Amino acid sequence: MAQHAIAIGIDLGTSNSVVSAIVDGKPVVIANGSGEKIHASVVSFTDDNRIIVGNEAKRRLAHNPKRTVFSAKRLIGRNYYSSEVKKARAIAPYEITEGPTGDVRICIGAHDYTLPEVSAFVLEEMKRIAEQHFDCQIQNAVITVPAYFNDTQRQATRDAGRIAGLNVLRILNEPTAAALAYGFGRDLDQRVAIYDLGGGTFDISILQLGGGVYEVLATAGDTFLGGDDIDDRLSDFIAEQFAETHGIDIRANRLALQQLKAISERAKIALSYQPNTTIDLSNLTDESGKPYHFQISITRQQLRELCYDLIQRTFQVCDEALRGAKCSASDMEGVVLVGGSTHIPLVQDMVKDYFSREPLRGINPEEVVGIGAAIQADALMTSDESHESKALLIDVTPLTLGIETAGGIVERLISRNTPIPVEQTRVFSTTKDDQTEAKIRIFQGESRRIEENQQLGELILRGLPSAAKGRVQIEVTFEINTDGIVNVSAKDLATGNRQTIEVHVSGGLTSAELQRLVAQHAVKAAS
Amino acid sequence: MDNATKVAAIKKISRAIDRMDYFEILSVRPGISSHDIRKAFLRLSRQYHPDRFFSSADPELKEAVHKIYKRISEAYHILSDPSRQVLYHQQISGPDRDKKLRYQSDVTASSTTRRDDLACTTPQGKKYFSLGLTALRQKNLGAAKMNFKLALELEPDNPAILEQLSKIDTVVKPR
Repeated sequence: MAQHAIAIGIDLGTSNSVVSAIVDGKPVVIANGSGEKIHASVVSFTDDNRIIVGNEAKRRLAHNPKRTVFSAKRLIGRNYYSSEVKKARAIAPYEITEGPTGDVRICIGAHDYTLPEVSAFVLEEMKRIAEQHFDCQIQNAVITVPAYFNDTQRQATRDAGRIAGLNVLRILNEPTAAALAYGFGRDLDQRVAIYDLGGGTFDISILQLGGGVYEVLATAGDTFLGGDDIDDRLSDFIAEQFAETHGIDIRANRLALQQLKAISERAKIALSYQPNTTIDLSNLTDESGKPYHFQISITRQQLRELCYDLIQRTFQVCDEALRGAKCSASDMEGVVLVGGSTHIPLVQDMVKDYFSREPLRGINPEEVVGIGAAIQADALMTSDESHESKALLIDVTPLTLGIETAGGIVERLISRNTPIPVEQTRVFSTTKDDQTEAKIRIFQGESRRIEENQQLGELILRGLPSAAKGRVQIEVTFEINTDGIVNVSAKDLATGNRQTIEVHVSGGLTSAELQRLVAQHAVKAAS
Repeated sequence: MDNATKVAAIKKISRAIDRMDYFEILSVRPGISSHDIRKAFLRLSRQYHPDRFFSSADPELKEAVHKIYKRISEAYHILSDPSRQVLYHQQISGPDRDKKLRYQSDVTASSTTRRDDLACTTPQGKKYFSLGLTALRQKNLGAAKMNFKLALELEPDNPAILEQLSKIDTVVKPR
């Protein structure tokens, strides 16, 4: 295959993924060999260790639940002891275990997979689909993440790209990507809100568009709120009805639970297009193999009542973003719906009420993020000092970056909604005579108390020169780069020498492990 | 401007940027409105955003725009807030201007005096309080008093702030 400078955009979603590229100046969503453009972010490991990804893997979910991984994005870059992982462990049919850095591993038979590896399988599939379509090798890609992803989650996604053999041009925020797709080829001058409710996450971003610049004014989100939660509500409702009739909780059986989830998701989707739908659980059998007879009808109104409070939660997040952007809901000149869950009529109605404006349709909410990623990939590939590049994005950091000070208090270094890239420096002095080592803990979050924030990692300054306390001064620079990823460097102020620094990332891959995985997957891809 | 001249100009700015204050970086005058600051920021973003040079083959140029743009973001973040702009202007108008070109680096002095840091609970309050202490050390009582008052507005009845203010009043009154 020929090497080509085509760059792709990948929307790596919780439930579904999309791959897109710019062809002859126009964005296209790339279909796989079966003509499918939207691919389930599901990875299934067969008993003979073949790996199946996408919609076929999703169909295996009901038959092989212990070896089929879905919604991995909910776990990526999370700490094993976080409440999100606890919640996932309670409902996931596959086995979740703790990794060496407090990260999460998924255990399939005798093999433990890291989350970046699982996501890499999905990314590899997207790469393969694009390579088949263009009949050439593709390396360059922009991968999207929820705007509210923290540093660890972004790093883990970048690692996933590397393991998949991609050169990750940019980790791009999903709502920003959607704004790029919305403004593509139109000379807009307006303030827009991007309401992005996906399978597992919610983001809201406020942008000012004008003169080819896409300026993010503020962003906010909830990385554990999405369509999956609506499916769970519907599943619980059906299971309770079932228990009333047959006296057993079908959720106790993992196989039945998976079938129930799949049925709930289908019913939810059906209710977006029709006022009622029938739930039929006659595939379920008791121990003796005798089928249960269970059929109920669910109306759109019932679904509304079941998930009203979940949708309501998104508007508290919208309030926060609008405060950050110093504007009100009625200042928006356009509201763009992104993510599969915005197909739900209740979501559309509530968004319309909140912004007092009809949300825009036109671009498929499931494809818009992938298209935006492709636009950004293309813009980056064609920009050097001799060209005026196309669109320019100015994004912000979604979370405040801080360090621990005495008494468990966070000192804020870079506040949220600051345009990136950006950096801050701090000078640290030794507090003991002949101190040779210092530790600095780094956090992200809005609380003043460290325990209410997410710890990103620990910096260790080693080999400090021996001197009386307070005499050694180290200047530490904290940078947030264009991917929203934190980099740290340190300098001894007296000598001007770079100070060696070790960063221990909480819940991520160590660099040795990343290298091992990249090499391992490269060998597999070549064979 | 042809390409080579443009590249040379960018590299020159990146070498000079450590000696420039935020007003110089954004080419604006003190007292500028938030609206005009934003216009300046957008104009400079079009010129210097690292994405504009993403595929450049010149690593030195890429490093230069990174350095320049990070400082532009920093300057924009500080000057776009009117109260911070006033404080920053005061900070660079006093003695030791060269050491105070970056807003946070002055507040950093208090990293070593952590107890002062903890006197206030809000980030803005902490900042004003710390600026007040710095002004006090420089015997600039007017500036110290103003900063403590700003801190007090954010954190009414904070005993540490009240204590500092009463100290200043006892010094000022006998005159």
